[in-house]
Amino acid sequence: MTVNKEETVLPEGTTVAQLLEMRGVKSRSSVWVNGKQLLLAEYADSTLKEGDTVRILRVVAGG
Amino acid sequence: MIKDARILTIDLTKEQSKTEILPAEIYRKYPGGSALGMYLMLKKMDPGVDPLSPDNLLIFSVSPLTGIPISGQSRMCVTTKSPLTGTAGDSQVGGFIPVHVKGNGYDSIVITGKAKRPVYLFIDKDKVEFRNAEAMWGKVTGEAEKLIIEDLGDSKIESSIIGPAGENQVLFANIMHMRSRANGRNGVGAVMGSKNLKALVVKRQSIMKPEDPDGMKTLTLDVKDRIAANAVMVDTATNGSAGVVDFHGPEGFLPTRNWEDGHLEDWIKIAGTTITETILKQRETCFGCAVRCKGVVEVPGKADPEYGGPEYETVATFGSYCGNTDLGDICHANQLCNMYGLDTISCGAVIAFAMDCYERGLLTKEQTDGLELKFGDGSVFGPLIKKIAYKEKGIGELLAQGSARAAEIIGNGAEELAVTCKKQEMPAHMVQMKPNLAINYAVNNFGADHQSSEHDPTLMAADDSNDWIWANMLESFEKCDAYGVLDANKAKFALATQKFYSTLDTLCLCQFVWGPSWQLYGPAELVEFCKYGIGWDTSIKELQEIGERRINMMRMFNVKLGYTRKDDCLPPKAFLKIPNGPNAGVGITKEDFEKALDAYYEYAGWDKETGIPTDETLKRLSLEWLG
Repeated sequence: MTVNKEETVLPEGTTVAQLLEMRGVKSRSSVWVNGKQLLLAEYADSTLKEGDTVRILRVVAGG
Repeated sequence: MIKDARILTIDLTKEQSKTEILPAEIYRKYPGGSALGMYLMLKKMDPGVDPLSPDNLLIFSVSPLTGIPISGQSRMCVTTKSPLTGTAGDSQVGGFIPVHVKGNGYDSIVITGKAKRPVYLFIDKDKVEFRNAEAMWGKVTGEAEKLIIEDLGDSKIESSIIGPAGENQVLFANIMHMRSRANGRNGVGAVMGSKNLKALVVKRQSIMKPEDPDGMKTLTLDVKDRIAANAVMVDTATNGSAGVVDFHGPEGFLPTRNWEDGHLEDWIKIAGTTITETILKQRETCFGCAVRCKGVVEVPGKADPEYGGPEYETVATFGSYCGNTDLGDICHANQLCNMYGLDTISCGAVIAFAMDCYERGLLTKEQTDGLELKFGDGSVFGPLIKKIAYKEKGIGELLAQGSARAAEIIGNGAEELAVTCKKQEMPAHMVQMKPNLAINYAVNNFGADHQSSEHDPTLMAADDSNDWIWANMLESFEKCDAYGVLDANKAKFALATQKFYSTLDTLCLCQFVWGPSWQLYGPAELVEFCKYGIGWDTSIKELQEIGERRINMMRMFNVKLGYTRKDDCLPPKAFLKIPNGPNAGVGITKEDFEKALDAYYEYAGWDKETGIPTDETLKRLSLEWLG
C-alpha cells in the first residue's frame, strides 16, 4: 500500500491505530484512506488492505 | 455580571496616582486586557506620540475573570505604543502577578510620564509607593528581584521587572516576571525603561471567589480527566510548548537557517521529548493551572534552573532559525535573554538574520566585532546577546534595533533577508505549512504574531475531534487536506479564530488552555466560565464581537498613524518553496496571498483598497467614536 506517497508493506490486518503507533504519530492525526477521511472513532477498527492509499497529516497545535 | 472597572492611573513625572472608575456598561464592551488597554490608549493618548517619550502610556490590564481559580486564567496584558513596530503594542504574560493585580483591586494600571530617577512602584491596595530603584538599575532581572525583596523586607510580592536591555531601550526588550515569564513582544520593556521604571511590584492578596462555586466545579473538578482525554494537553503537560518541535521537525516545517528551509537535519536533538528526557528538571505552573506546562531546565555551566527553560519559540529561533542543534547553547541563550530582559523570538531571529548577512558577505568580521556569525554555531549567542542588551557600539547597537531597521542600515539586499512584518520578527510557525498565518502575520495590528489566530491543521482534523467541532462553533468551515493551501476558506478561518483569540487576550486567558480547537476548554466552556465565575450571561456571539471590537480599535489606532493595506505585507522569504525534506515544494504564492487578503478584508468589513474599517463596520461594533 502507499502511505504518504511511499510504498509500504504492513502485516496483514494492521489497523489505522496500529499504523499511527508504528510511525510514532500521535493518535489525533488526520487520516485519509483512499481519499476518505476517517473519524477518530474509526481508527481502532479500520483494517488496512493491500492497494490502499493512506494519507496521514499531523494535527499540530500552536505554541 | 461585569462590574465597574477600577483603573489606577500613575504619573511618574509628578509621582502622583489616582483611581478612576470605568462604568460597567462601558467595561462590558471592552472587558479587560488588551481591549481595555486599547480603549484607554485611544481615549487618553495621541497615537502620534514618540513610543519612547514620557507621553506614551504603559498599561497593565487584567480582566473580570482574573483570579477565579481555574486553569489558564492568570494572564496580564501590557498595552502601549510599540517602539519596535511603531503601531499599537500588545504583549501578554502568565504567572502569578495577574491574580494579585486584581487582588489589589485593579483592572488596569495606567502609567504615564517619566521618573526623575530610577524608581519601582509598590502597590498594596490603595497605597502606591514610588520607591528608589537606583540600587537595582543596571542589574539583571533575578538580582533586581532579590534587591526589591530586601528593600521591602517582604517576600510576599509579585513583580514585573526590566533588565538592562529595557533600561538601554533595546527595541525588543521585554518585561520579565518570575525570571522565566515575559511580556515578551513589541519592545514593551524599552517603553518601561524610557520611563525610568525598573519594576511594577504588587503585594500578594487574598484570592477571588467565584459567583457560583457549584457551577465552577462542573468545569474544574474533572480537570485531570479532561487533561488525560486530550492528547495535546498530555503532550503539553509532559513536554511543554517545546513539544511542537516534535510535530514540525519530522514534517520539515521548522524555519531553518533564517527561513531558507523548513527541513532541519537532526531536529530530534532539539525536540521537546529530548529536552524532557535529558535536561528537564521540573515543571512549574501559573496560578491555579493544572496543566503545568512551564519547563525548568538545568545545563551545568550554561543554564541555571532559576531562569526556567526554553519554550518552543525559543528552541526554534535559537535552534533551527540559526541552524543550531546544540540544546546547551539554546538554553544558555534563553537564560541570557531572561536575565537581560530580551524577547527570545526577536533576539533569536535577529541573530539568524545577522548570520544570513554574514554568510552572504553583507556583514564582515570587522562589522561583527570579530565574531564569526555562521549558521550552526551557537557559541556566539553569549557574547552577541550581551552586546545587544547593552547596545554596544558596532554589532550590538545595530542588532538592538531589530532585523528590519538593521537591514535598512546594512543595505545591499539585506532587506530581502529580514523576516519581519511591521518590523517585528516572525515567530517559528511557517506560513508554508500554516497559510492562514500568512494572513494573520500580515494584517495583525502589532506585527507578526502566532498567538493571534488558530493554526491551519485544525481544518484538517477529523469530524469527531474537538478541533473540528469547536472551531465550527465560531463559523462553518470547509475541510482542508493539504499544506500550502491559501484561499477564501483560510481567510474566513483566519478572521473567525482571530476574533476568538482576541477575546482571549481581552479576558486574559491562556491560549494553551482556552481556545477553539485543541485546548483544554472550548468556546462553550468559556461561556459557562463567564456565567459561573462572575454571573455574566454571555454567548459565543457576544464574545466574538468583543474580540472583533478590539481588533478594530487597534486597526483604527494604526490608521490614525497612516497605516493602510500596503503595510499588511509579508517578507520575501515567506514566499520561498520549502526546498528539502518530506514536504519539499510546499509554499504559497503572492497571487494567492493577495486574493486571500481581499477575502479577509471583505469578511472583516474593511475597505479592500485601503484595509481601513468601513463606517458601517465601526457602527456595528459601537466604535463610531473612532471614525
